[in-house]
Amino acid sequence: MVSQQDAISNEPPLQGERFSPINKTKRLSGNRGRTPPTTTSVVPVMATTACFIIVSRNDIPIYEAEVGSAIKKEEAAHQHQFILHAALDIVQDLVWTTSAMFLKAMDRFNDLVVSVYVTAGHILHILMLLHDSRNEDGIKSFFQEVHELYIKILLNPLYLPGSRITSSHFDTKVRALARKYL
Amino acid sequence: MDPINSVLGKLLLEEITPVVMVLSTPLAEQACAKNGLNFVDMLLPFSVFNKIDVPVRTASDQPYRLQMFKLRLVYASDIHQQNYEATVERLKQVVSDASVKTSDLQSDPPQLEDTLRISASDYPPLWIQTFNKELLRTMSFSEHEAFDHPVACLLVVSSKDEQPINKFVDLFNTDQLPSLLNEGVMDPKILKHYLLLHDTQDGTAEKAANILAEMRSTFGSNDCKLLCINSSQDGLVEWQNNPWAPYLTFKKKANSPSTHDVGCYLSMDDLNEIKDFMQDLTSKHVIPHMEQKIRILNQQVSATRKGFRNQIKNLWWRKGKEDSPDTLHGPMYTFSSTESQIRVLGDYAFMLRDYELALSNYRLLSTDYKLDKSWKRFAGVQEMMGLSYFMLDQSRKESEYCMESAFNTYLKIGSSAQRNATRCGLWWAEMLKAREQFKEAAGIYFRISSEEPSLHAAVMLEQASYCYLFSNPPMLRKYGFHLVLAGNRYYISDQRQHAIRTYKNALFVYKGNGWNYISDHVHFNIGRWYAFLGVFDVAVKHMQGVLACSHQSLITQNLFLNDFLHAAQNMGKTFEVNELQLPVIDMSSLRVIYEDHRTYASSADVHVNENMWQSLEEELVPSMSTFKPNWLESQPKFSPLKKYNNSSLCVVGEPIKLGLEFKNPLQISISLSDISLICKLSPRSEATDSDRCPADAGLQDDAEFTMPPSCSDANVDFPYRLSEVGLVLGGGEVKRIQLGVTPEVEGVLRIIGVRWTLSDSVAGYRYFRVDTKKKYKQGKRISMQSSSNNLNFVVIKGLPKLEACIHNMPKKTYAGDLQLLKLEVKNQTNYSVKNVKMKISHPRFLIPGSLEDLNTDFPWNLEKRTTSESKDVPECTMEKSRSAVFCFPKAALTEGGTSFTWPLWFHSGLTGNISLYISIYYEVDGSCSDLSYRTLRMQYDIEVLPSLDVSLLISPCPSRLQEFLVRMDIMNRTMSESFYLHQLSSIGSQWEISSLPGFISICPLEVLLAGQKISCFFKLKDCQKSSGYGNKHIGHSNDVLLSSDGNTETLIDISQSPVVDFHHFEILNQEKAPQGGSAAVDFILFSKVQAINLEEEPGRTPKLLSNHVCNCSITSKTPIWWLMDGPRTITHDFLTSFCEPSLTMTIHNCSKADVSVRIATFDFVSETRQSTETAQFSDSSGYEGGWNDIKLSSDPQRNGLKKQSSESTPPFVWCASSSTRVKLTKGCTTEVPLRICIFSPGTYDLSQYELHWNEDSSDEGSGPEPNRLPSGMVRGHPFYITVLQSPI
Repeated sequence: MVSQQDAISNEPPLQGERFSPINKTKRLSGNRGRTPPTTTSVVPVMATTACFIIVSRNDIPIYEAEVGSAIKKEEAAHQHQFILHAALDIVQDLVWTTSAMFLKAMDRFNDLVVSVYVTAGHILHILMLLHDSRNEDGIKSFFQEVHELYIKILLNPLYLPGSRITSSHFDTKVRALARKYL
Repeated sequence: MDPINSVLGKLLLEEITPVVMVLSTPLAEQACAKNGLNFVDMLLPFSVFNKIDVPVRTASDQPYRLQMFKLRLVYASDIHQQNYEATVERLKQVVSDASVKTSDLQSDPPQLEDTLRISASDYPPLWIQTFNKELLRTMSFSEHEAFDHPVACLLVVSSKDEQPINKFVDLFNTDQLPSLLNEGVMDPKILKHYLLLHDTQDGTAEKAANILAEMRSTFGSNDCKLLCINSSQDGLVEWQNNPWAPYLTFKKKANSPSTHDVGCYLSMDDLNEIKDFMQDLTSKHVIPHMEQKIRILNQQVSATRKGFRNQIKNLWWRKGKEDSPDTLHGPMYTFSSTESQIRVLGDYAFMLRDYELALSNYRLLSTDYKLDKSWKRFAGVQEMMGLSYFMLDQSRKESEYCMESAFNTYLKIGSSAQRNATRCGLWWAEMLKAREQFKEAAGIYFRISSEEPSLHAAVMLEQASYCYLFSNPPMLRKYGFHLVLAGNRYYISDQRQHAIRTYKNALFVYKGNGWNYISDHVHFNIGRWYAFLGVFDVAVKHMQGVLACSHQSLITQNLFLNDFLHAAQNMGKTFEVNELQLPVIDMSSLRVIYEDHRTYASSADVHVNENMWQSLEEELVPSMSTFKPNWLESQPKFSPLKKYNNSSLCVVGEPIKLGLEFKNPLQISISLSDISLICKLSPRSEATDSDRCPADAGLQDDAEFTMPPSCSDANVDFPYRLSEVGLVLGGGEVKRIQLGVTPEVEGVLRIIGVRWTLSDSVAGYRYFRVDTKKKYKQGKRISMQSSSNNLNFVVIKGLPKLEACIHNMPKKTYAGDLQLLKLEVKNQTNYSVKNVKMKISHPRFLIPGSLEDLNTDFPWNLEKRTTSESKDVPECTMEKSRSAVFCFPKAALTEGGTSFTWPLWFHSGLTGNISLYISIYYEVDGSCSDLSYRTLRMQYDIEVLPSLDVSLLISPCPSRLQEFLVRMDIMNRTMSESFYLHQLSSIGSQWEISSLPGFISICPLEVLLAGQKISCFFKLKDCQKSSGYGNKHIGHSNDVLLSSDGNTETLIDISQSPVVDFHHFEILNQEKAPQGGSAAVDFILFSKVQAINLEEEPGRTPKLLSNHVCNCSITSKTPIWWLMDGPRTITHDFLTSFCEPSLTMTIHNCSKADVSVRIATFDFVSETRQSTETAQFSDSSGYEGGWNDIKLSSDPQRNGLKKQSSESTPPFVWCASSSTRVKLTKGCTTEVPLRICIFSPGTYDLSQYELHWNEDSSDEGSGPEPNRLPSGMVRGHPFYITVLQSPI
């Protein structure tokens, strides 16, 4: 596993995503290779993609948020879910090999990277972030603060552990943290 | 695992084999074509040798034996790099062919268990293996590799050819030779083998033998062969195991006839001859030739490159070459260059499986190519090194490293070597798979996929997904994800069947968890693709799952819905979907409204708690059957119905209503039509015949619930009527819908579900079964009580049914509003009823009137008739039965189809929201029916706004006994309403209201504006007491008009029916408990609304408001009442003696108990006493509370007293005893004589006495009242006496 990881990271990033037909046409029209999607040309500040998700037991997502600054694309939502869902396989493998809670860049799809923060007890809850930025420290502190928030949610006696987090307060806090760190 | 036996090993043994170039004449081809084959194809089955068992000796001296061997026979014209488009086309063909075979469109998607059971050996499926092989073959005959270079050349000439010898020469000399040979990449000196093909049908064997002899003399005896074919004359050879069959599948089938005809002219002898020929060619010519070449080349290489000297030289030489221009492909290498020779040596060694030798040469070469920057060649060599390492089963790391560097190098070169990268990747992946590193293999496939066009990428991704599946433990999520990716690519490259197949395989991974975008995507795409293929039923099935996608954006929702409707419409017939998700039906909102013996005036009345009604009807209905939920048991004649224990009752012709909440989860509006219930009504006779046990019925249910409603009700001539509703639900809207069913025959009715039509094209239905089952599981008691949601009904025959309503019932009114309302009771049915009774929950608000009230005009009927003696009117009927049941007179019996009206008096006594419950009980005339009585329930909600706040403060008149000063505070609490004060009345005849002297009217104002507050003062006189006291008062009035022009207005008779009745309930309900028996006064203030601002129609008579203020206490806290009486002015001659006037004190006990009173007089008031007393006083007023009880007590008097007492000697002294004790029974009055002594003329305040009272609680059982103390002390009232000096 590790060797392959290294192998992948040693080489230039794979060429443009071809997940959707739209991207395909984009590629054919010459916008190929590492050039970021057209949205970045509109927004001068580097637009980042980030999808944050909290997964409870049995792979059930209990909180989802698109926290990136990039303009949201229609098909991005399911694509991000697909990537994060698939990354759970890797998480389950890796989690038992390390005592660290923060597993950085443990899976990738094209230029999107999945970082994971497992809560103590490992199997209970997994905070996952799909991102394209390389700001490791920021991601780590983001995870830690969100974990703290999440614990506060858990302390709410009216919150049933494992159910969907619908608190708008939590949502705004998470988004604020994302703006701060990511 | 032995690498030879692995998939890759087999692949290499098959694919990296010596190539034999075939050159043939047209006539030779013709001979073969008789069999439906060309020459190469004919030899193809025999070019594979599973047990050739040839000894081989390469560079080393140690020989070894080859077992399996294969020759690749290729026409010279085919030896070239393949056209890109053509290969893509061929690969597409492979995939398309497979799609027909592998995709079963109708089958169910596989489950988790099925998928895990698949063993790795079965996968990837055969067609993918074929695809891989085809993909690898597209890379053949590249110039940078030598293993595709022909090892030998087979020249074929038919015996029919003229001058065959010349033909042989011509064949090799023409321009047909491949470019590899012509361009000098390959050594043109190649092993040649001459074959004469003889068709036995065309000529004799002798002729062929002659030609062969000639050939042998020309080309040498060893290299010439004769091959005879087509020895079977009739062409009817049938092959049991056709040797060509497995090979023909890849070839284009269009050219060849069916496989039966293939080889029909070839007899067994022919085959044996071909086999021998091939064996001979391989073992006697090709392999020895290769051995020889290896040895020669090896010597050359050793001479030029091996050894220290050569290495130095090579390095030097390479360095010198570095100046040459750096082209992309590096320098051109001809066949004679050392590098090419090493490569050939390596490849030959590889083909002869001397991997050690091959590896050492490749290694040597790779450094050279690297130095030359000839990257493509370098990558090719690296690739071969990797494979050699693998075949040697050495050093996994090395092999992987080689493959990786080869792969990356190919990629770096760019598009020209992209396909080579793919091949390298495929090999690499196979290598990893052979070592069970599935996860890594999947990664390789994924990387290949990103370099290939979408169709190839799809196949690669599918293989990647299988790798994830077989990795240990299985990575199912990755499996699913890559299948979806593959499906996506398949779809892009128009392979919809493959796309559907992959998505379907991935379905189970995403089943039943919260990844909503994923499941939406998967289901929607499967549905869409099925719809493309025209399989609409499956399409609809998949698409219906994604309809309730509230999390998606508006555009996506629109897309989903439109595609779904489109698919559904294309099915031709209306499609019925079970549990259609649009709209969402909230099952917990299910409410059934039905009427058995309980009927309701409006549907809103049903939601009132049943206990509320039951307690209201307690006195109405026959007692035995009220509280048992299964009341049927009480009457034996219902025994046939008893078995439907869980069923409710309903009546033929009366609708059962069912309320359900429909919710639109989308942001777009949807239209629903034909919403109706699904019911089953089995007529009575049937139901009794089939006395099935419930379990049996349950079984039947199961069958019923699986099929759509159209099947079940197709053959029933509906014995019930259904109401159909249609509506449009806006985005996110929730609507409560009431659905009805009206049974028309007796029997058993079951409501089993609801159905609706979405956008006129899709019919959805939903059964209620699950819900009810759950309820029964919660235990018997609960299921009994939740019978309101029971969906089984016993339909009984028709009953009378009363309907009633109160006309003009106000929704919103002011407190004190007094109105006459009309209750209309209708009997719409054909049956008559009897014994009609009514009960009202709040008699304070609503009481039944008498029939005469209907005829008169409100409010004039209330006015006092001066002529008639209204006092004689008997007290209302309600007087006796205040809270009880009101029985309508017998005359009010309603026949079928008639109606009657009854007056009701309404008075809003209390502010707030009040629900009035009215229950009308009636019995069925004629006892033959199943129910003997029914009740009609009505409920009205009224909002009562505050209007006038009236409070009264009564304080005893200090100067006169039996008279009181009353302060009345009236405050208008409304926001906008003005009230016209009309009349103030006191209840009871003993009170007389009179204005204070000097005032014309009690009230200074007539109209009270919004928010205004007035206080008015008047005098109240107790006539009873006064009469007892002696002053006879006749013609006193207890009603006073408040308006100034009292002539025009008339007084309202408070002793008449509605007012007095309402007053009675007011007394009962007002919070203040009656204090001190008769010592309380009740007042009624009548007022009229001046302008009607409420939302009533303006044309009505002005509203009359009556405010009842009850139990205004006339007593203070003391139970006694006293009055000092005596002369006020005395003329006395002080010169003679001091003055000694006598006074009387009248004491009255107004409490209920006996009181003993001690009168203590004193001449001095000590300071301490004074202070304690004030403290006590303030304390007592502290807990009194309320603004109407503020004491108007005589503080200034006391101050005066204090001042007085601070002076030296009192001007008078009390005579006689300083304390007198009197005992008073309740209600009695005594007089106590008092006397003072005055020494000088002046005006004196005789308030220096105290009355100590003590209640004897033992006398009466009631005990002391809580507000009152058992004993206490009061100070004397000021009484001024003026004594004058008499003139001398």
